[in-house]
Formats: sequence, C-alpha cells, structure tokens
Amino acid sequence: MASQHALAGSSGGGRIVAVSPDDGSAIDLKRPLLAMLLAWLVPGAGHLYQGRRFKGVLFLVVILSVYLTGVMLGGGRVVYWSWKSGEQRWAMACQAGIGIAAVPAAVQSRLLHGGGKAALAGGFMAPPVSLNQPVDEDYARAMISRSPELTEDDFRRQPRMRLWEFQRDELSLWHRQLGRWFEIGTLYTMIAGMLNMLVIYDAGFGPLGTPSDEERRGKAGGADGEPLKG
Amino acid sequence: MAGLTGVLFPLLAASLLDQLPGLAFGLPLLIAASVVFAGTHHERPESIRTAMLQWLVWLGVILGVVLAIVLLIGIWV
Repeated sequence: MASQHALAGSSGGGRIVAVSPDDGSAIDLKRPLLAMLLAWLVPGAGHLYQGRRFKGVLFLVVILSVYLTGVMLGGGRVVYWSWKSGEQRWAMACQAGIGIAAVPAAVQSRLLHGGGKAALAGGFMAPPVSLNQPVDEDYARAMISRSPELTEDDFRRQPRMRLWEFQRDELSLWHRQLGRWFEIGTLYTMIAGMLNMLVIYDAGFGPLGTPSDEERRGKAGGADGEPLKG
Repeated sequence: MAGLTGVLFPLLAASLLDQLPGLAFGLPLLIAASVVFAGTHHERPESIRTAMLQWLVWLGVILGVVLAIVLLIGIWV
C-alpha cells in the first residue's frame, strides 16, 4: 500500500499518476483534488473527468441506485439535516458523502429553522418539526395536506402572526407511518454515502489494490507507453 | 453433539427464515458494496468483474457468519 502511494504521488511528464494494480500501467489522475470534489458532488463524476469511463459509469449507477432506493423506501423522509440539541441526525454524517444529492437537506434545514420558518418543495428532505416549534402558516398547511394524521388542531396559532406552533412530534409520526422502512431507507442512504467516500479516495489517489512486485518491475509502463518515474 | 446440532440447526434455520425480509433487503447492499470495493481496488473491467464476485463471496461469508452468531446468541439468551 505504501509503495503504491509513493508511486501515486510521482509524476510522469508533469502528470500525477497512480499505478494500476492489474497491469502496472499508469493512471492519469489529472487534477486529483478537482477529481475528488467532482466525485463527492456526483458519484463517478471524478472518474469520468479523469477519462476512467467504465468505473465512472459503474459508480454513478450503483451508488445513485442505492441512494435513490433508500430515499424511496424511506418515503423521502430519511435524508435530513438536524443538529438541534437532542435531535441530532448522525446518519447525515454518512449520507453527506453522496454529495449534491444530500445538499437539499442542508438548505431545507436552514430554511425551516431560519426566519421564514418554512421549507421548500412541500418539505422534501426537510427535518421533522418538533414539539412547540413554530412554522409558517403555509408550511403548516402543507404538513397537514401531506399527512392524514394531522389537522389544524395539532397547531397552536400565535395571535397576529403567521406562525403556528406544532403541538406534536413529527419524527414520531414518521416512525409510526413508515415503520421499519424508515430504518431500511436510512441504512441504504448511509451506505451509499459511505461507499462514495471510497470512490472519492479512488479518484484522488488511485486504486487501493497493490500491484505485485512482478507487475511493478515488469510492466511499469504508462498508459500511453511512457515509463513511470519514482 | 448430534442432539445439540439436531436442536440448534432447526432453530437457526427458523431464525434465518424469520430474517428473510431483512436478508432480501440486505442483498442489494451486499452487491453494491462488492461492486464498489472491486472498483476501488482494480482498474480493468475484467479484473473488476472477477474481484466483484470474490468480494461478494467474502462479504457474504463474513456477514453470514456474523448473522449466524447473532442468531445463535438470540436463541440462547
């Protein structure tokens, strides 16, 4: 592993390359930091940028499939951002690995806890509203329309304001409505995020597999025929 | 020993059957993990395909053993 990293850091004609563990050929990592950023934003995008099309498409399809399946199984409720005391969503630490697909959760959390007290798109990826949390009147009505268990009686209206205080705990409601699907969806989205962290590493440093000594000695030629240095 | 196996095996099988829905939802994750592990350890498509199968077997065996241990503990406790 250490020898591979040493080679990965070397350059051939100004290029940053890694060594393929399969045949010892050079893998042009182009700009690794940019590739890692792209790989985080969209799974596989870093590899596509580096011209590693097979792996790029493979990671894109597999990881996004797992993530979207999780979101679907969890009724669109399992990816949300909440760092309020006592309501931290630790799963997000793993889910955030998926990149841009998890960004709406951060935006929705900001909107719901900000001055507007309302999230966009009917609350998709918004954190659950907790007991006594004030929300905008329109958002309260959106909550009522998407949940058959909620009525206007579940909110306390504040006089002369458009804010309604929620009198129940929406997270408990979600757990009751979704049952085990909430946990299964959470697991799927967490695993998708964690798998993408491996993909990000691969985009920045090359494959984790170590070439054998024989491969390193015998076939240390670049993808375009240039020998590797270092 | 034979008596113990005769009791344990049906109990383990019954517990495993009880876990079938969970196993069914775990399988796609196992396959996805195998694909990503293989993809991050190899570069050539042929190597990735071979490694994917190897990872699938490895992860299946490891997680299967862990599941069996957990189920056995569940039977005993």
